[in-house]
Amino acid sequence: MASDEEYSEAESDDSLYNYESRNTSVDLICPKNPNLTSDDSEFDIDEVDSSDYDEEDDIDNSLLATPVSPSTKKALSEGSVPNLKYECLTTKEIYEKMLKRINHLQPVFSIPPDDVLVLMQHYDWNEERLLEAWTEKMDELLQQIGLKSAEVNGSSDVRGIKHRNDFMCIICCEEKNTDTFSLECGHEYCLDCYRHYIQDKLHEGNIITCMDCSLVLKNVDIDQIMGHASSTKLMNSSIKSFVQKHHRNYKWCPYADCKHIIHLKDTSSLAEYGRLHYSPFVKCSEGHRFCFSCGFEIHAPADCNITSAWVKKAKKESENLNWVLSHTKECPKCSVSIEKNGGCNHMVCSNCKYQFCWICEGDWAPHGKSFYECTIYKNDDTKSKGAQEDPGKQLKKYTFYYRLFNEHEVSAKLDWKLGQTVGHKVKALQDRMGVSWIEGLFLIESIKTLNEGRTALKWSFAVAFYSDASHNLTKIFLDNQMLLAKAVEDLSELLQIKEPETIMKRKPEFYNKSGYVENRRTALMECGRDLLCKGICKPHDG
Amino acid sequence: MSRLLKEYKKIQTTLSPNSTHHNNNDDDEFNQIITYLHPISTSDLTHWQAQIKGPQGTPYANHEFQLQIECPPTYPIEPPIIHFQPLSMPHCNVNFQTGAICLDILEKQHWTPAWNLMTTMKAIWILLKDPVPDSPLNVDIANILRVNDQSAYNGLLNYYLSASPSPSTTK
Repeated sequence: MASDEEYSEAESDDSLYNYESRNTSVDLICPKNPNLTSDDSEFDIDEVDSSDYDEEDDIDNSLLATPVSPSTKKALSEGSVPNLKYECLTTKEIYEKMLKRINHLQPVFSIPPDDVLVLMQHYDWNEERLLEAWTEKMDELLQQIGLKSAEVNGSSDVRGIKHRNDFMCIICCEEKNTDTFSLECGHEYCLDCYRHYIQDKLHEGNIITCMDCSLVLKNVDIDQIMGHASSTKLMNSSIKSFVQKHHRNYKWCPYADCKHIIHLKDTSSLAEYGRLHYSPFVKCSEGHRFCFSCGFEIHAPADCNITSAWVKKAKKESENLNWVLSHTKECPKCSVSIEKNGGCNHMVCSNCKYQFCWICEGDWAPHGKSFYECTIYKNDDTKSKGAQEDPGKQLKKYTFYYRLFNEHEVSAKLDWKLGQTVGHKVKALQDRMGVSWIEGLFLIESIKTLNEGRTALKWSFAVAFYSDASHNLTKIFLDNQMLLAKAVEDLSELLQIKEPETIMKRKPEFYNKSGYVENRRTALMECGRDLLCKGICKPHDG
Repeated sequence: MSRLLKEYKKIQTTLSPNSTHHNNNDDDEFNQIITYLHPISTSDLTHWQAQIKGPQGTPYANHEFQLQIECPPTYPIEPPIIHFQPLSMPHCNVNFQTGAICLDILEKQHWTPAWNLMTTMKAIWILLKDPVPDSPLNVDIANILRVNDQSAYNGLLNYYLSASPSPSTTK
């Protein structure tokens, strides 16, 4: 890349970026023989989509030939499936949907909605199975599930709470003046015992019955006994087990503490996507992006195969590489221990003021001027190319890439922490500079771009590891990687600024640097897809 | 703990051989099944020992079997933990080595506090009468049961039962 220098100067210049990306794509797509895989892919994706959404046929058919919407183009270059139809839900929302269905179905049953709810719970929220069973044997079903008592002897007992003097509860064997509860069956126990009993069962999500027979405690009963809306906890558990059972169509967001569930109706084409190196990336309401196929965070430019191979390898090698997770390093000059507390790899030793690069521990000066050389794996032994690489060297290559991968993962975590503080920064801007909330939004946007950039960068090392290093395209990919790495580090450094005044003064820089990261990311993704589609990058047991 | 105390008293009156006032059928039935049900020490009602009779019409008939019972502090909300004496019970739902019993009501999910130690003993006795080969802990015996090889089944069980160190209080 002769024109490297230019891009760094005109980072935000879109026209220049476009020129460059066109250049790359010409390079990449030129090769003489028409690529079968990519032709195939267009065709297949079309089929998948058109069967579902007829109105989108036109767009899909013309994906390659005519200009497509920028968002579709971006999605394709990322290797994600465009126009993937899914919904993001919480357990509460799924439950509310079920309630709606029940209200809708209630006329069929001619029993109270509460009873239908119990039936649905019994049939794992599977409407079809319930309706089938219902038409076959209504009364039997009601008895079997415990909505109707088999013996009608207890007609005198009314379900509900009663107050009794000198009541002898046969569970706790205590005689006392107490409130009791019983269903129509007349099995009566004190409220304390009932509460313990129910409390123990709430998290199981199964139907709760009378302690001595199979008569069902409905949600109203549970709430009445417990004194508050405990049945929501039971319903929550029941929906959770429903999600677990339908893991093909429902996936929990893998991000820590995120409670969202993605529902994908049509999963028939997931395998096909994988074959074509597309990944069904989805985004939950919290903005967490992950892959519906393999359940990992968004791993573009890698596809699911590369990702799983990489993760497997990382697990296998982690014992050999226990050093990678260390968070501190000694200053290369004065040997004082330094903990990295920000996302940027440009380190300044607080002791001796030596500036160095966190990754290679070399002087920072060369990094700043030329490109970010730390991302290139330097093949020391250039003579022995062609011959198969010996295991030791493979390991060395792996260690090198894994270390980079890991560094960026750690950095990403620190960036995330940084993101937590951005809210305060925006607040500070408002308070001290009189900046409106909207105007402060650029900070939040920048953090988002930074995160996306770093994630892509991280996974690109997996792609780099599995790519044929001698291929020209791999070299282009590595160049793209360097450019993104540099862009990300620049942006990260910018986001370290704490003084509101400086931030506002340098606002255009935030815009420029974010835009540049975004562009570099797209370019890297496109290049990565080409590597995958052309089979230059494929998983192996190296 | 008052629950266990109550149970203890109830068990004492129900199972005492010389007691005259147990003339109802339920008590008789329990006496037919349980020969011994007692806390190991009267100062600690959470550890019990029991002995039940083998049901008539099964290879277990004329044998008696010892059980260890442990009541968790949460009893009766949670089920008691019950084992046969290790190496004493050849049964498709009992682990011969440990004596562990596979019975739904002994699991948290299916247990209800309406059960007590006596009814639980009865449930285990019924398990001896009607083994469930579909969820086996002792696969060898379950396989013989499944192919319905009655003579092999009886032979194998008799071999185990005569060799086992179980209490020889047969009548």
